[in-house]
Amino acid sequence: MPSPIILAKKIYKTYQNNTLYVNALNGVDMELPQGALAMIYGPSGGGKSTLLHLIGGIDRVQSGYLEVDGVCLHSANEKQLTQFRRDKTGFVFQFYNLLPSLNALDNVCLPLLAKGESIKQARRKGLLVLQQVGLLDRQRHRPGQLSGGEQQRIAVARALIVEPVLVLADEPTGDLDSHSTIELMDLITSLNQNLGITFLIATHNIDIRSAATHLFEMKDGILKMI
Amino acid sequence: MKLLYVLRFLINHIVRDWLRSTLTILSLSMIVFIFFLSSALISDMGNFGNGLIDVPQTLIFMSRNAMLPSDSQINTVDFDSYQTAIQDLFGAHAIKQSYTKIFRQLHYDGRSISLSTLTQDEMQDGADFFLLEGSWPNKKQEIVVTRAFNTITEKSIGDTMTIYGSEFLISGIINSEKWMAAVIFMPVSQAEKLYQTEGIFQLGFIQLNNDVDANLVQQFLETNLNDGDCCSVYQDDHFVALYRDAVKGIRFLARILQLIVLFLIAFGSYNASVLVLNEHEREIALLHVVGFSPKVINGILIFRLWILLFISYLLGYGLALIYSKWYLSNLRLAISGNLIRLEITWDSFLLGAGLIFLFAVISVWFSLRHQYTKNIHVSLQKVFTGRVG
Repeated sequence: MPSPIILAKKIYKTYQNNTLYVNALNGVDMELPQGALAMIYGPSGGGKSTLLHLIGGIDRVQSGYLEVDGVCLHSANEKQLTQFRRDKTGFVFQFYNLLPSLNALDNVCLPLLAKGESIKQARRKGLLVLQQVGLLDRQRHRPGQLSGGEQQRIAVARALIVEPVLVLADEPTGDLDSHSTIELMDLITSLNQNLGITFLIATHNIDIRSAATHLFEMKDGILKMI
Repeated sequence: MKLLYVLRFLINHIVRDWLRSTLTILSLSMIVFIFFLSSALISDMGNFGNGLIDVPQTLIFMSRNAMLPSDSQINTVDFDSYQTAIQDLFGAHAIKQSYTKIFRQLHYDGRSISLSTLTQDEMQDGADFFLLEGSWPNKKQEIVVTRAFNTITEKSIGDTMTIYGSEFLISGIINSEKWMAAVIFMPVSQAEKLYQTEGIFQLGFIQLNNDVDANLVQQFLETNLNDGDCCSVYQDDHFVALYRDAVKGIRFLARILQLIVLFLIAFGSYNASVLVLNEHEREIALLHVVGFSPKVINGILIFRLWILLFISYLLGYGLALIYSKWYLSNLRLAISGNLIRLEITWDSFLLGAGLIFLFAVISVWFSLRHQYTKNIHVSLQKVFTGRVG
């Protein structure tokens, strides 16, 4: 049996809001194999985004064990976390979060520039990824000139350009109409099946659950596998 | 290539954010403008007193208790007694030369202008004057004026002016690298006739030979020859020191102003930096998420602030240059006949550039320090939930 890409044991995370302490994660255990297309459901404030932050190396666990693709995130320092984010993961957000001053191609190329690749090389790869998501003809367009669905596909392309082992998506369909949602999920499913990329998606949208290989429910900081 | 890419990205970024960028540039350029003017003012104040009678080995005689040269009155008999005493005690050849000056302070064209007597010999020996245009007065009722007088009053060769009820023609303009004051010079004979003060003058000068100790002579005269309560004896740098003392307060204020301006620049840079961090927090967080290290992001932010400061600096410099030129052709303020030039120099340009770019680095460092230690996770969280830009 292949080693899991995500291995989490007894993860706790508490946030302080002025004098109020919020237990975002209450001893989360998780094991996800490589190549999975996993989805986490649950109400807002249940801890879905917090879990994605921790798995993505954006935030730190308070206690517990968290290993992603062999990297122990619970003990990694800031430099190691930056390197982890740059090399291992891709992020897709609800509101796309593209830089408005860059065109589609340059937005896609950003992670490679962060890795220190040349602009020429980054753009060459960027064009290939844009072709994969079906938006090669939109390479010169700025985010403001693209539809919501197109922007989200650009965001997916940006996540894919570093050939990540894991793509984390937080409500990726939250701002899309039903047609764009179907197109995006088709793209994610195809990337998962054809390239073997692992996806972990936090969502409210029950219409897309049929695409998942693993389903989780998160409520009050506790994760359950469905 | 990458630098150009980042530059293009940042310029696009600044242009997209045009309203905030414009306001930042305008406010910073105003501060830069004030920086240049205060630097010019300090430089002008620093030049105050330069080129005043400052001939080595020269003792100056002025009426005891007189504050200003124009208040002094010395007669030839008293002045001669000083010369005799010096020769008696320090030798017949102790004195190289001696001369007297009639000196007045005029109210002319709304300004305080000095009038002094001058001979052609003194012109070269005293303050390194040279004839810039025209000729030395060789007719009755002719005078020469300094370049500063010409600049302040716009009176030039061929123009006439009324002094003490008499018409005088300007025959020449004289200048000295070190003389900043606006002064009218006329030959002694004309001044004596004009003021009807034959045998009475305001200032006496005795230049000693190099082998005579001027300090010793001054002490001797002050101690032993003051029974008649005639004169105070000063060293050659007395008036320079007097003038410098008079403008000490203004110079101090100008320095304080410059210091405040430097703080304003630092504060403005810091503000601009904090504004960028706050307004583009999610974009910065996004750069973190896609793998840019804090060091690279700092570099990008410093570079962005530099671009804004560079534009502001050039704009402020340009405005200061334009104002300086306008000021010299229209206002030309003077203090005691000393023209305030407000000249924008390369020295202040380079000093300002160095300081301002240093402030940018410190400002970004400070603002980011705050950002990274307190808000990084919060701002990163916004990437997941909020809209960028």
